[in-house]
Amino acid sequence: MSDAELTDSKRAKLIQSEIGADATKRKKNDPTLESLEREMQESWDHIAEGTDTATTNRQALFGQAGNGSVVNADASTRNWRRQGFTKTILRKLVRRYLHDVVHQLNTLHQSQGRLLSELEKRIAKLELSDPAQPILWEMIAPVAEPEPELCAHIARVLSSVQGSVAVIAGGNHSIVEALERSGVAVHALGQRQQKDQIGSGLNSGLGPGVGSPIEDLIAFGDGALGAVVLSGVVESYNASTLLKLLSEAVRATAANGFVIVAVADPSDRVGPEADLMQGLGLEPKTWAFLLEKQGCSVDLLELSALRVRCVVVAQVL
Amino acid sequence: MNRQMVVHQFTVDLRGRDAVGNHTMQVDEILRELGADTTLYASHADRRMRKLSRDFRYHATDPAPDLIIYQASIGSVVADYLLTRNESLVINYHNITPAEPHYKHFPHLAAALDLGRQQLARLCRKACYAVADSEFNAGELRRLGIRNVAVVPPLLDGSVLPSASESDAIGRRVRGGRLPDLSQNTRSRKTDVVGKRLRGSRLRVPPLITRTRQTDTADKRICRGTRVTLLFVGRLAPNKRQEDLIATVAILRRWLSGVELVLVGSSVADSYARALKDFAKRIGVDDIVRFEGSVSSKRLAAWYRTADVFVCLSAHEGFCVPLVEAMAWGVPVVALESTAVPETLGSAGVLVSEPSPTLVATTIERVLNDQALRRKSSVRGLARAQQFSPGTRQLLQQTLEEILADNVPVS
Repeated sequence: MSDAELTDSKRAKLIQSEIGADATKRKKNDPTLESLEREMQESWDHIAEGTDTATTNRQALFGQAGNGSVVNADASTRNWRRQGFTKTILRKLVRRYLHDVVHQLNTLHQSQGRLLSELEKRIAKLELSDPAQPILWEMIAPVAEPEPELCAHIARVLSSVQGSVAVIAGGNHSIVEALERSGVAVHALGQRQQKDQIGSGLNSGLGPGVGSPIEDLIAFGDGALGAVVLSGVVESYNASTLLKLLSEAVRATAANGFVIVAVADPSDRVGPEADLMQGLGLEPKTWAFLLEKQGCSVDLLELSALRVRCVVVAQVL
Repeated sequence: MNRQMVVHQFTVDLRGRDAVGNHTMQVDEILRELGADTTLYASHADRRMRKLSRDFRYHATDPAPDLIIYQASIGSVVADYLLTRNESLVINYHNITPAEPHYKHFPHLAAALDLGRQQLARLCRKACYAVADSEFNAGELRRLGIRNVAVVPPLLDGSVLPSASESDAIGRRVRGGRLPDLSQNTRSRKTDVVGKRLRGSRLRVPPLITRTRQTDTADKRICRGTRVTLLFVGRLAPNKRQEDLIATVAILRRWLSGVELVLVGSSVADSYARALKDFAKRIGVDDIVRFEGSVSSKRLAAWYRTADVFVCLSAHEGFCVPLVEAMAWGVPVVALESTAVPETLGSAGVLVSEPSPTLVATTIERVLNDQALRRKSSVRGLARAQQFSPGTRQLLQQTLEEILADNVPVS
């Protein structure tokens, strides 16, 4: 901001505060002002409340419902001029009737839009506070441990990474082991919904936690990590948790570092898992989209004959 | 070899006397100047515009374009249709008003606005480029994930703006200090006519204004007389909060004689307009509040010429074209500090932090009585308005050139 503009804005603020003080003084000197304001507000509330809403105002509804409508009653009623008198009258009558029908249809369409949007909001709320989640975790089997080939792939991608790598995965820490073998410094942030599901990782002394990978990542400063690997249990989180997790992962990763997502595609689930885990986890393409939105350059690594068929490799720019 | 670029522009409601409609037409004109083959598609068009556009429902059977530009301002099936298309998409965003204030009076409009916001989020995932009216709107788009957002203010309707000679005259009048002395209108008696009317008194409010000439004369001239005219231009809609303007004028008439409020703008639905008229009557200011409805460009210009202060208490504006028009006519502006309003005003105008009638009335009175403040506001307003036109057209032309260059078709 230039000096002149700064002075302008300062002057404007000064005038605003002067006027504000004057208004306050007036209200103080003339108590009727305050009561008048209040009475006017009450009066407006009363009038606005009592006014017929647009649902009773057919003409207004025609105009408005038409604006965002699916159906246009006028679309088929062009070129009347050359038709006979009777035909014109008939068409006009039909059109009048059609207007009514179209209006109802369009209003229905738009009300549905509103209902759907409310439904979406309610579903999102339910997802956030789903009391069934703990029960769900007891019923489904823990996420399978990644195959050695997958671990080797991840280790290969991260072999030249600068700085340490945080692994958010199942506590059995096979990815951690693969990374350690390739000489990468690792923070294992093994996660399970139930503490007793954490396996050997719990005994490795690398600090696995229970159920809160976001908090674990928050502990790292901006760009403190060379890479973050999201795997295992991550595929059973809901969308809102995943969004937070991703944004924390990208924040904690240094420029040119990697965020790797190695999770199974939810569409590959079968049997009880498919039913019980509906709405949990994301497809690789969605991961890629979200990571691109976070400002990463994303590659999809296709792996054949493995449970995790596609690894999302995102480089933080 | 490059062939002529085919651009299809889509809008929901194409009207000649409408900011989005006017902008759409001018974009079309610029695209043609840039050598593109353009077609306008709309879901609805008024009688005049129908000849210049095609119903979007025929688009699917028309030859595919190289580029689609969508003028986004409300939810519609047009957006749903565009989401099914594979061509490069550019969004020209004019802001979608929040739906909540409209649910009481226009539930169907509110639903369309809600739908518009949902569609915008989906369109943003698909679009390669976006043009926004203001930084405020651009911020919304960036939050939805578009990186390439250019800010180009909407193109103004030249027929409402003063001509070059009028602009010069306004500039001379404003800078030369020949502003009418309105301090003589300050009332010595402070009769609480509004309060009495509210409390059920049968007191008749005496006419404060002697109209020397009718304003609805055939030549459509509007006469100043000894009045102080407060003007607001905008649809009668809950987000524009015309009820606050009416309440303000009720307070202001206690301090100023001969004050009147002119509300120019069509009513989206009768219920809200009726509520405003009932409210004006209930608080005893129906004789000084004029509902002009939709007016011709000539008459709108006449109102700007007549106005002493332009007052805008809108709770939500994506840009607010009337602010620029008022500034171009040298009318000092008092506006609520909300959404894109401060950005549009720049350093011109006087902002109020809340729509409290006493605060706004005090601000208006200060602007009317403080010659220096009024002059400064007008001079800065003129300078600010000049930044928008014709510079805006050049900016839009540059932006469209860039977009066309990025989407060059190869035959």
